[in-house]
Amino acid sequence: MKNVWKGILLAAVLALAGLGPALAATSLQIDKSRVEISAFYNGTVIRATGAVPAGAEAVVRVSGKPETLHLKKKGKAAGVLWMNVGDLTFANAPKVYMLYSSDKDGALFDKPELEFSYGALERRVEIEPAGEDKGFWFGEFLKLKKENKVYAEYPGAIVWDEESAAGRTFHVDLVIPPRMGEDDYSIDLYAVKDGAIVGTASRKLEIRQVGFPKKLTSLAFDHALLYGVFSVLIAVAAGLLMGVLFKDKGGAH
Amino acid sequence: MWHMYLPIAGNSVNILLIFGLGGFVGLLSGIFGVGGGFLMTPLLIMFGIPPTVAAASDSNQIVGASTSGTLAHWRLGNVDVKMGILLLIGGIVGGTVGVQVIKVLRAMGNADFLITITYVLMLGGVGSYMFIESLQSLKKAKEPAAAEEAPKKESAYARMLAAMPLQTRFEKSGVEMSLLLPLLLGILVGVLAAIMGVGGGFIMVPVMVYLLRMPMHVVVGTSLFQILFTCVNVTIMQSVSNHTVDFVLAVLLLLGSTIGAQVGTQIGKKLKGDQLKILLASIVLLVCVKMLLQLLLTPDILVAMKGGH
Repeated sequence: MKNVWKGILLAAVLALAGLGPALAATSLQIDKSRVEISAFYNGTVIRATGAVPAGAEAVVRVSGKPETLHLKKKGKAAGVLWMNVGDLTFANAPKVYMLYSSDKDGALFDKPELEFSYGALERRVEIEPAGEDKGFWFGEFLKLKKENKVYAEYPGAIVWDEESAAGRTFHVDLVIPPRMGEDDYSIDLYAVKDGAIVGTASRKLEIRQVGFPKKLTSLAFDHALLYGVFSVLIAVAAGLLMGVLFKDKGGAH
Repeated sequence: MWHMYLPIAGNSVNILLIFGLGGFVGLLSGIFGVGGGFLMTPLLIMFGIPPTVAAASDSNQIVGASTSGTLAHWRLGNVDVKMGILLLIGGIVGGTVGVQVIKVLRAMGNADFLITITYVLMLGGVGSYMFIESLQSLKKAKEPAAAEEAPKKESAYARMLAAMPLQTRFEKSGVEMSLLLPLLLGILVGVLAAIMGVGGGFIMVPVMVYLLRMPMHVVVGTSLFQILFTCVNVTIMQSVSNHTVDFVLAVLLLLGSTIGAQVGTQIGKKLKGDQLKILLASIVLLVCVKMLLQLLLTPDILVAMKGGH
């Protein structure tokens, strides 16, 4: 009985949300909208399911809040040695940017006219000082983010389940690496047909520290001196303990 | 199961991997009396720890390893407390001065270039000198006939030492010199360490061997004693001003490094002073070559996060 009511409610919400026939055919669900970071957390996987209109390709984007990053710029000093030669500031760049697609080669990611593409991202990101070669430094920035595993692309990761005249349904496993820290994230679905976005759907994801990691973080930020002294005392105690243990074993004579 | 989340670093690590890394670096510090930051920080960055957190958590870890190592060396009579305290006071003064010097240098521009070049040249020079010098004494030890040298003429350096005021005897090291000398050298090393952004073990150990003329085994113990206090200071400062000490990471590293430091001390005890010196010289030269390669090879990525060594 409960499920029937849920179903009716969901149908009503969907009917209200659907602004046109194409949009109504685009939907996205995730199997958990909150991830908790506890002491032994090592990332997780979220199963996303949904639908796009018939004949459309699907792209799912997981993105974080925009932030401002100050990076060191490397260049040749005195013409021979590679060193830090200055600072570059990247503003309005998402903390996390992961793209999943149904097309096998990920060609959709490189179409600058599509909102989720790298080209569109490059237009949004601001690089200071202005006048630098933006295309080049954005490329280096992407490399750094991908190496840190907070930017990633998974072409062909979206798997089709059923196909009908009304549309096609899919599922995809979204990788949530441990580097995606406590914050709010957005998971967006884009239906792409004939080079244009014909439908979108969106879900929120929150990642939160709980238990031990949460207590430790608040101690480190709210009682910094206490935290520092405590860290030192534990280290000294561990060192002394090991010294005593080794002496008892007859290690030193 | 084998992973633990690091709340400050914002990433998770394999427990066994970090334990092993701690053990290895602790071993080196027990044998040679260096903190091991030169090795630990880049490896932690490679495992996905942000550079600033890697450097700060490493100093927390060194507190544990050097406590363990100092205790082990203490039992062997290898810690010259008097000398250590003088070097430490000098080091703190020097460190404070060095931080100001670096600000002035940065404002003048091109400082990073000069600093890096100086550091590489110094590592190369000190490493080569130590290597050659200890190789020669090892050879001499093998040929006992050649060991009988004519009594050395007193060098200008020795005359200068004897002429300095406030002469005192350092029992453990078996040397006699002015109180001012370790103080001044401590300041020098402190300034250099602050400018280079490194712990200073690589500079302190050769200074103790060649300029303070301490026996190698006492050098190792006294260096650890001194590093302990330096890193206590760094850990608390970093916690308060930058919030970059990850306690979980430090504890995982500690578990390995405190054991490593004990084992290292035992290994060091079995080695002769010259053997220790030649091994340390090889490590210093390796670090120097690594830095040179970094400077000469085109980096894969031309932007980088700030912080770290």
